[in-house]
Amino acid sequence: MDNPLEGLDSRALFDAAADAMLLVDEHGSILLANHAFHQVLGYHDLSQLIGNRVETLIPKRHRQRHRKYRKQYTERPVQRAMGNGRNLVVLNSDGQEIPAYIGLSPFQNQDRRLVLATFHFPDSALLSSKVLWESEERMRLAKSAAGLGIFDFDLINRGVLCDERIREIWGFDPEEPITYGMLTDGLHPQDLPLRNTAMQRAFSPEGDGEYQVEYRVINRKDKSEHWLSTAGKVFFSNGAPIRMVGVVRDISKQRKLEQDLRKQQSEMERLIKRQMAAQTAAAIAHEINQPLAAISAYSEVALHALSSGKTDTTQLAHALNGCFSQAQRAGNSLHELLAFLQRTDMEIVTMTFDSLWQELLVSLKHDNQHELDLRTEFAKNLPAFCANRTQILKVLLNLLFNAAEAMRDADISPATVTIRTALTKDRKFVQISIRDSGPGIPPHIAPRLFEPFFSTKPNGIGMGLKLSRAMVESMGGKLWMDEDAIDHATFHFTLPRAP
Amino acid sequence: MNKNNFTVYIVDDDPAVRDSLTLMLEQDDYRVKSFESGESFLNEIGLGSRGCGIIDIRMPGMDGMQLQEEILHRQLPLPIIFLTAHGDIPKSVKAMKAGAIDFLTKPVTRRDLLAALHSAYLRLADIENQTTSRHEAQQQLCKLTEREQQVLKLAISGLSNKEIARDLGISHRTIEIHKSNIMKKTGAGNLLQLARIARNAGYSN
Repeated sequence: MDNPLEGLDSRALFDAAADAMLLVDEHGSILLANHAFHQVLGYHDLSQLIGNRVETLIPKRHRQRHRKYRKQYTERPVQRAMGNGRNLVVLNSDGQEIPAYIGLSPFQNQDRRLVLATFHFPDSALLSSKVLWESEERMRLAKSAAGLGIFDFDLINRGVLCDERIREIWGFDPEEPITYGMLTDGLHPQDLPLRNTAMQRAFSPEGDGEYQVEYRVINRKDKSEHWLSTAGKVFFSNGAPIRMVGVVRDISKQRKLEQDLRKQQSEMERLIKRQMAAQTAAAIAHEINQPLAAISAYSEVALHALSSGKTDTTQLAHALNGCFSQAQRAGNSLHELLAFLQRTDMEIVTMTFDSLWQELLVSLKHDNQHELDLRTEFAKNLPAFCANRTQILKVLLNLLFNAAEAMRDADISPATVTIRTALTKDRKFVQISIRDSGPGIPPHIAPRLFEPFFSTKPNGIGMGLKLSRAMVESMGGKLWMDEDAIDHATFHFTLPRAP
Repeated sequence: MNKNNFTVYIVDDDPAVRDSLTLMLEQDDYRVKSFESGESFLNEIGLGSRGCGIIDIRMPGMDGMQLQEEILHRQLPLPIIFLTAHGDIPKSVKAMKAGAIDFLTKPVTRRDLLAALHSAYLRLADIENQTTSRHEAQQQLCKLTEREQQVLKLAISGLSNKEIARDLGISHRTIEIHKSNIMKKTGAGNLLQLARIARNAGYSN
């Protein structure tokens, strides 16, 4: 029998292959394209291909990178799939991008090092290539317009796929293989717990698999900080998570705007507070100054009468009586004024610490200005108590922010604050204690802390603690500071237990 | 300092302030009248009231600054000492520019108040002296005929007899007669004295 391979024309063999193939020289010039290649991609005019660089088949935006890869490949030619699993596309004669799997095989022909590229097109890609091309193009445009980055975690094989945008944000190189750990390392340490909690929730088989969280990423290369909003979905198989897909969006600009806005608002609030303090001070000054003026004059009258020797007892009595009644008047004005300032339409309700805690967490979430590392030591089965919701929240925030600011000023990080709840010994009050990890309060300042208009803060008006105490007292509780604490300031307040 | 013909008018809405200051000033032999508002004070005083006002800046109704304006508007010869609870600098500057004697902060000391009253007393005497000399000068000048007054005005503005004659269209000789009559009637010895009398009377040259 004749050898079936005798006289085999390698060129005919090349053309007979079902897969599209290209033969390329070491400079990237196309030497030969097989029949399938012409057919599938529509290159009927050979001059469009032969002698040209392979980059003409690649979308413009990838060409430069491809040249680099090609050079690397020429130095270390091995048989492998091109693109390390990335979605590759090749341009057809109409300029459409057709998805393709591409295999690369080096081979030596005499002294030339050639490369054979084989193309396999998924059926769907060819059948609806136009539709797919359009939808992918639309997707790509939308993605880049929205600045979206896409990630895809294979939770079984621990495989991680990320697009260029994610690489850009995290500061990874375009070809660098990415691991889950690398992504985590890029996160701002403060946001890690938040992200992990969101992940755990998404991975919970009882949940809906939704993953939604905002966190900061520090770019590995330029150390820039990016606020990202992440939304994703976890897929389950037999009750176990197998895959997680999602998008990230850079929201740094919005964050900055929000922060600026909030800063402005708090500046406004501070001005209003200061204005109020100034008005309050003016009201007090007016109430006190008139009787003081009278007392001063009356007493000088008495002194003058005594020193001049012609003591008229009626006049003396008149003057001294004036002093007395004006001092009384001053005192009464003050009490009335304070009663007026503390007057609020308070609704006292029964509440649990848990509900207060939830509200506090919400309030803290909206606060960007204070760094707090909260620890909790909550008593079990703490009974409900009576308080005004808004006011007690204000008191708590005031104490927490005081602590955060004290620690920030002392350069203490993390700013750990411990919140403790307990029932008092007589079991009549719920006691909430806030202990910071700051430097404590200097003994010469401690006695003045509760004085109105006393402040150690450059922007403080010195009403915070005073008002907090007034609010707690108006709810039937007490607010005080641990006098004997050497370091770590601790404040306590109580609220009456609900009947 | 003669306190017999000098009344201190205290205007303050606070009865205790009025009472204590009245007591203090009476102890120093001042005659004191006090008022609870600017309005009631204005009802009481007139050109014949001789003394000084101690006025609170902050009062319901007409405040101290408005009262000062009204007093100036009525051309009452009344020096004013302001009392205030706040050291209100812009107001004090305005008040001082409008001729206030002093701007005292409550509580005021006896020493400061008496010192301010003394200044007020001297200021009043000054005002009265000016008023008297104007009165006298006006008396002297009202004896002049209309023509003589015309000649007087031109003469004190520095014109020579010749120039006055040309201006008024009368003879040089007649001007000399007018001038001699003016000197006789006013008792002025020379042109300089005549000019002083005219200025005191409020003639502007």
